[in-house]
Amino acid sequence: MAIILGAGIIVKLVLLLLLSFSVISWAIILFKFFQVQRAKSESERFMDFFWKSKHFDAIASQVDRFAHSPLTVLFNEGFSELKKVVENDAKSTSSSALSTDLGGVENVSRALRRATNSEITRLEKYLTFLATTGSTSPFIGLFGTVWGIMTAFEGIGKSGSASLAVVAPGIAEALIATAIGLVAAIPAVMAFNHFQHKIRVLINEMDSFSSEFLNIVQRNIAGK
Amino acid sequence: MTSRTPQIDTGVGASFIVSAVIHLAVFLLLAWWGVLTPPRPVVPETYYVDMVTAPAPEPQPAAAAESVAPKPHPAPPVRVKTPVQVHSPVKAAVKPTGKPAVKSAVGVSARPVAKAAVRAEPVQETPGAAEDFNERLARLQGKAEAQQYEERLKKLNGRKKAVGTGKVPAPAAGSGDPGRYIKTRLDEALKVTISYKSKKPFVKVSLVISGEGKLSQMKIIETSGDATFGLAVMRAVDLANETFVAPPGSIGNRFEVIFHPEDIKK
Repeated sequence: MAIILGAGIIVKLVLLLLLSFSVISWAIILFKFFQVQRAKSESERFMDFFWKSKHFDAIASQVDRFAHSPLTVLFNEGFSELKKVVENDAKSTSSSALSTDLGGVENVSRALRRATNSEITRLEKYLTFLATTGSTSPFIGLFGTVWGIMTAFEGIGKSGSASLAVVAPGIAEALIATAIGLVAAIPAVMAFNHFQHKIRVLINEMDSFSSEFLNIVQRNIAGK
Repeated sequence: MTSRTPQIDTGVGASFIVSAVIHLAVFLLLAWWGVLTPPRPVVPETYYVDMVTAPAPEPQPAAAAESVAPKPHPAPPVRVKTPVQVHSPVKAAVKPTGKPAVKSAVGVSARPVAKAAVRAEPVQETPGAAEDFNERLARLQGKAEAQQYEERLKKLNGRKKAVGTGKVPAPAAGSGDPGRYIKTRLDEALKVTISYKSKKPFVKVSLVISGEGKLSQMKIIETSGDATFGLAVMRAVDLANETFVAPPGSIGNRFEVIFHPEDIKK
């Protein structure tokens, strides 16, 4: 406590900045942890439910049970687009059925791709702050240390004494900035890498689900 | 176009509060644990007594002599008389001068009894021979004490002259010589830090007593070339500065101090 209170105004500002970085980083880490965890578990449950069900209508009625899964968003998008295609198909003439079916599959594919992109964006939200904290916090801390040491040496020069009792407190006050910079950066970098990996897994799951959904749609439309 | 209900990130605010609480808890834990407040070494306050100008204690020669002399050697009847005979010339030598009889009395009173006790042992054959011996002994002791007193008087006179001529800075009123005081403090610190490589190193430094009453602006004016001894002197100045109390009236004055390892050995 005495080290922080005894530091200069610049060092205090640096410490405050690093503290806010750390608080926000940990808030993001906690939020992302629960978000990714829920997305993963509910996606697994949704996939089980999806393969056990035989009708899209039945799945659509139960999809709210898996609200945190990105796959449900894909399913909703794809299913609503498919419904539109089917409605258009019913209105159209029977002679142009083949061309309409192919266009319908393309529409569903585009809807799934759009939904996938929006889900990736949602999952990767706030991760840039973790990356920024991880890369800049040590440098901000280093800046505080350099400034603190400069001030300490200035004080030593004024006092005219180079004893350890005069030098050590100033250096300790300065080094606390680097320490807090590292304390903020290390968890941020670790969490960023962890969430990057988890989100990549979820993206692969979304791609797989899109492919499966399109296969089912194409089989059904082609079968008609 | 889309039927998708956008998912709102409602957990960020709650996470922020939790994070702030965690940080506060960690900070308080560290503060309570004492990690952020490193223990500072307790430097015991040192009180210095200037022995040069300190008032002499009250003399108690007779009590000291009586209590010391009989214990090691039980006194025979002859020896009981000797101190009485011995003391008279001493007092005769001291009284006329009017100078402090304290130091001479302290230095003198114990010795004659011991010497008399030791030397008187073989002279117990005849009462006449013992008396002669005692008389001679008393004369010799009287001479020796007179010589000792004269030497001491010379020393005191020499010191008085030196002060009068200004060879040594005059001591401040009531607190002694500031230069000597500083030298004594620095020598005490040098005892801790002393280190040298050459045979007869010396360092002459100049110091200023700052407004805060500390030794500052140390400059090495002259040195024998022994860097180790120079560093030891610098460390000694730093060490002495931790507990240094400036003598009154010395703030802002510049002092030059010469350091020799021989001063420490004394």
